[in-house]
Amino acid sequence: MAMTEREDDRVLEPFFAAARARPPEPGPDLLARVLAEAEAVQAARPAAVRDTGAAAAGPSGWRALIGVLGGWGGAGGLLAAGVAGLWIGFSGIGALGAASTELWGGAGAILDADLGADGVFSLILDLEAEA
Amino acid sequence: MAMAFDLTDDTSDDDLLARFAAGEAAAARALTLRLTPVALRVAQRMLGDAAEAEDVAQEAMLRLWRIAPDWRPGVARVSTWLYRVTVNLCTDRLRRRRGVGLEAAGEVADGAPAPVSTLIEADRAAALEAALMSLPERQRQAVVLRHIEGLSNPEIADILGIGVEAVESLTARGKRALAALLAGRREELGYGDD
Repeated sequence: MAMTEREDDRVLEPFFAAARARPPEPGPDLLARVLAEAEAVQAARPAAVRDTGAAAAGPSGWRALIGVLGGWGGAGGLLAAGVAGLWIGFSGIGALGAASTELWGGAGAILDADLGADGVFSLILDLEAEA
Repeated sequence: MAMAFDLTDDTSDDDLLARFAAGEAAAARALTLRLTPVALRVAQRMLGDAAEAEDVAQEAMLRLWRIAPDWRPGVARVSTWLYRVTVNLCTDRLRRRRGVGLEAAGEVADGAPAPVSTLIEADRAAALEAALMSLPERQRQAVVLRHIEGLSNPEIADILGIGVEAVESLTARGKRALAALLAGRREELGYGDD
């Protein structure tokens, strides 16, 4: 087997060498089409995702939004309000009176203790990635 | 500014892909120039048809652009991923050909020998390409990746989703068949004195 394979290699290597020396090269049309699709994919991507890479050049997307909201504290507060609203929606009107004090303490405490500013931002990115 | 980077051959595929995902136009250009030829080479040798090979190369690159944001550096090699996608796209094409009775599309070049005096290296490469098209698809994949692309057996195993021993078996059987096809043409192809 090994002998046979060595003999096959001897026969074939010149052909392989010729093939390696003359690879099919992409023409300018193909390269232009590939590049155009690359640029289209880049252009279609949300700015916030692009900003997570090395080319972040300034506030845009979520960063700009967070800036408008008054920084991380404001964004965290907004998220807390959103969570609270969701809770109210699920808990129903009847339970609201009894639970409201607990709610405002509870939801805010969770955000302050477990998420923090970085956690809130990660959560926002996760939500966006899943959207 | 990141755009000031000069994206030379020293920049890794992983790095370029991350920069592409970050929106760098220069990374898109560098990856296009670096990896389109890889996809095209394999597609051309798997399909034996230039137009179809271009379509496959373009599709493989589009898939690369789309997975860029989710790429995890260091987990796999970008080139390995691209080889795998290209090979799979070629398999799909070949399956479709068989479905419409065009299996022989890439095999027509095999047969009538060209006049000895006109044979140059291009003809030798063409003779190999024609002979490759007569191999079973899996053997062709293994031989192309091993002996033309120069990949290692473990990397080929990864690309094809099989074991290293299976790769060795495929390449050995593929070369056996190729040698039988081409041995008789060595003289006319200018290798008579080897």
